[in-house]
Formats: sequence, C-alpha cells, structure tokens
Amino acid sequence: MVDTLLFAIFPYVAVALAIGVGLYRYFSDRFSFSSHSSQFLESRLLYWGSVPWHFAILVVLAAHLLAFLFPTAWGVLAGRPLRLYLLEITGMVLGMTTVIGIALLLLRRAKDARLTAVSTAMDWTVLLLLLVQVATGVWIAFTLRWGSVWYLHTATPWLWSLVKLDPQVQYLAALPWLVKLHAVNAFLLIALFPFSRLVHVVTIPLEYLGRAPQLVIWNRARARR
Amino acid sequence: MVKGTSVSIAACLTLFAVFFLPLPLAAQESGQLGADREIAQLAEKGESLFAQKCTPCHAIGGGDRPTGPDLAGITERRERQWIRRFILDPQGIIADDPAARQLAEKYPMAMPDLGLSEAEAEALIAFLAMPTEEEHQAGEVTAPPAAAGTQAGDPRRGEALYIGSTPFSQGGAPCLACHGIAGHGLAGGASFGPDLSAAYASYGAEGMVSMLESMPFPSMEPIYLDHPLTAEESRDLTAFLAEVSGETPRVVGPLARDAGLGALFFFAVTLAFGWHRLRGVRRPLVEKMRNRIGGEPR
Repeated sequence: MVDTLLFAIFPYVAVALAIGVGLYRYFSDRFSFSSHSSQFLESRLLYWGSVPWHFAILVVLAAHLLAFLFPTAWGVLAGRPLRLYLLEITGMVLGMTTVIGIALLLLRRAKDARLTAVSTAMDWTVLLLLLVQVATGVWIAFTLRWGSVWYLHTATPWLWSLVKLDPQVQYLAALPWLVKLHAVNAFLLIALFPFSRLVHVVTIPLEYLGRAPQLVIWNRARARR
Repeated sequence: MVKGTSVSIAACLTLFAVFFLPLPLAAQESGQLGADREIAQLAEKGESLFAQKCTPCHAIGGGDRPTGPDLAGITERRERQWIRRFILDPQGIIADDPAARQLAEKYPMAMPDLGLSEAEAEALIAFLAMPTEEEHQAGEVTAPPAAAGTQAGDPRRGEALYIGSTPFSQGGAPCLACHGIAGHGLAGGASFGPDLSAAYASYGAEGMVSMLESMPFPSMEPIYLDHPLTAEESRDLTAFLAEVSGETPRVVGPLARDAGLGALFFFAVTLAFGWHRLRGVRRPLVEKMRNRIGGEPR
C-alpha cells in the first residue's frame, strides 16, 4: 500500500505539479524564473560551493538519465571489471563533490547574516532536500555496490513502467529503504521544482557560451575625498 | 385419554426424531466436507508455493540435499508453530532455538527470509501435512530441478555472464551487479548481496543450479521473474563458481578514501580554473582606484 503510494502514485503527482505549475508560472509570471542570485551579497564561498556542485551534479544527473534511456549501451559500458570500477569511482568522486558543494552552500547561507535575511523557507527546504538526495546517493554508491549495474535492472524498468502508465512497484519495493528514500526524494524535488528556485534549471544561459566577454570600464574620474 | 395423549406425544417425538435429528448430523457431515475441501484448496496453494519457493533447496521424499533437509513428514516430527516460525522468520528461530541452530550448522547455507505472509505459511504447512508420501509425489514437485547440474558447464562463459561482458539471453542482471567475487580486483568487491566466491562450497553443483534457475530470494525475484536464466547459463555459472571456489575474495572497503581523494582533486581543478575568476572584475577595479587615489576603503 505504502509502496503503491510512493512509487506508483506520487511520481505522477510530482510530474503533474512540475509540468502544470511550471507552465502556469512560465506564462503568468515569466520573470520569476530565476535562481535569485545572492552572488552580490557573498561570492567567495559561493564559488567553492556552486561551481563544483553544478558541474558534478550535471554529470551525475546525465549518468542517471543515460542509464534510463540507453540501458543496453550502459550495460555494455559497465560490462568489464575495469570499466565498471572506473565508472563507479568517477560517480563516487562526483557524488562526494556534490555533497561537499551543497554542504558549503548550506553553511554559506547559515553563517552570513545578509544571506539569512534574503533566504526563504523554500530555499532552506530545497538545499536540505538536495543534501539528503546526494548524501543518500553517495551512501548507496559506497554500501550497495555496484549501483551503475543494478540500476539498469531495478530503477530503469520501474521508470519505464511509469512512462508506459503501468507502474511496476515491485522493482522498487524489494530494495533497501535507503534506495527508496533516494527515489522518493528525487520525485519530491521534482514536485517542488515549480515552487522553488529550482525553476532556474530550465533557464539555461546557452548564449553565454559564445558571447563576447564583457569588459567593465570606468570612464569617470572618482571624486576625491 | 391420558393414554391417547402419551401416544400422541410419543408419535410427535418419533416424528421429530425422524425428521429433525439427522439435521445436525448432516450439517456436521457437510461441515466436515467443507473443511476438508478448504484444507485441500489450501494445500493446493501450498503446493504451488512449495514448487516456487522451496524446491531449489528442499525435496519431499527425495532425500536430504546439500542445501536443505528432506521435508517429507516434517509436520509429524515438528510442532506446527515451530515450522510456521521457521518459514516466516528463519533467522530469528535459528538465533534462539537449539533444534533450528543444529539444522543451521548441518546446512551451512542460511535459509533466506522468503517474505511470505501468515496465510502463505499456513498453505505451505497444509501442503506439507498431506498425509502420505504418495500424495506428495502425486503433487509432482519432488523431482529436483537440478538434473542439469550433473552436466558440466563452460566456466569461461560463466565468468563472462557473471561480470556482464556477455549478457544473459533473457536480460537478467549480471551477478556482479550485486555479488562480489574473487579474482576481479576492486570490481570484484560488489557489496549489495553476499560475495559468491564460496557459494559453490556451500550449495554444491546441484544446489547451485537449482538456486540459479529459481532465484528464491525476495530481493531477486522482481529482477529475474520475467528474465530467468536458461539451464545452460545456470550450468556455465555453476562451472565458473566451482572454479573460483576456495579463492579468497579481495576485501574492498567502502572506497570512501579513494572517492575523497578524487573529490579533493576535483576541488583542486576548481581552484585552478577559478584562480583568476576569484579576483573578479569589480574588486580589482575598486582596489586599483583606491591605490591610485590613496584613500581608505569606505
């Protein structure tokens, strides 16, 4: 019963919220799609938290997505002991990087009074849930090896069953609570996506990649005191 | 008059006795029949459960196997409550019951928690309590499915199937996804399930093949139910496990140190790339102006 609720019903609720509210917000309040940058208030610790976090989490998410979309190819990739080990250790390194990154971002918000003043309850919620997500992910990678292979035979068929509107909860029901928490928390983050700063995920500033660098030039003399 | 009255009463009683007394007897009889039918249905359910969950390790009338004792007549040798507990909580009963512990010592492969409900345990017991061995044999579940185990498999192909370089024909997960194995370096340190380097020594060829063909473990069931191993694949894996048997698996820790060092390297790269970035644009300009003007920072 609980498994049905968590792995057959909640994922649809989460995705419906993400798409429905996300679209509503986009068309009704487009300029609120932002990560509400606090870089102006604090930038040093932000760099150490945000940059490693974003690069590492993008690769980790891409790995989860590729193993879901192309399980056969992923199975071939992990089908040799050396490649499997390198794949796993890379995932662990990136995972630990995300844990350190998000912990720094939490710490940064907690210790700086100016940041605490501009932080909303949802900011804290999202940061904490992200910490739970990456910490459980790393813990799974360390203790339930090798996730890059069993994911193909548990999470992948479960996710595809959700796509086909025929949820097969038994794939998740037999797994340890740690994996269940990781899966439910992932959908919780998807559900919170349109209500939080996570909406910035869809505003990918691709034009920045090819844009000419901006030069800041002061052309006025500063008044002497 | 009095006599006439007593005759009438006697006649009524006789009529009553003729028509009504057999009713409870008939009800009792039909109740007995109903109960028998119910037990038979339960035993039938138990039979299919037995075939699915128990035959990989246990026979009925076929003799003890390396994986577990023969269960013929078990309901006469043991209390029902004891059997029920063994089915529902094998680890618990082995921990605190001397007879169960003795069995666990005799059969080193620990009985897995089968994840059965109370009702399913009852069905199994009803099946096990079927009165004669002939009846059990009529149930056609006694033949050990391990006849294939006597044929030798190809250990090289078994190894390829184990590590996943050759996928299982029905799409099942390679063993190395969860089970560690000796002789494959750090990758052999899979830790989700138990290491299988010593599995052959515990199960024997016959037990190994039947185990692989039925996968009677709740956590493995969803993965292999629709993707079973073929008889040939089970034989090849068994041959590989027989070859590995006796080798000591490499002890692999949680790899946290390796991953931690890697993460440190990642941060070092972040530092290298951001060395200039840290200085920013606004801050150096402000510094430059301050230096030029010679003023104190505001």
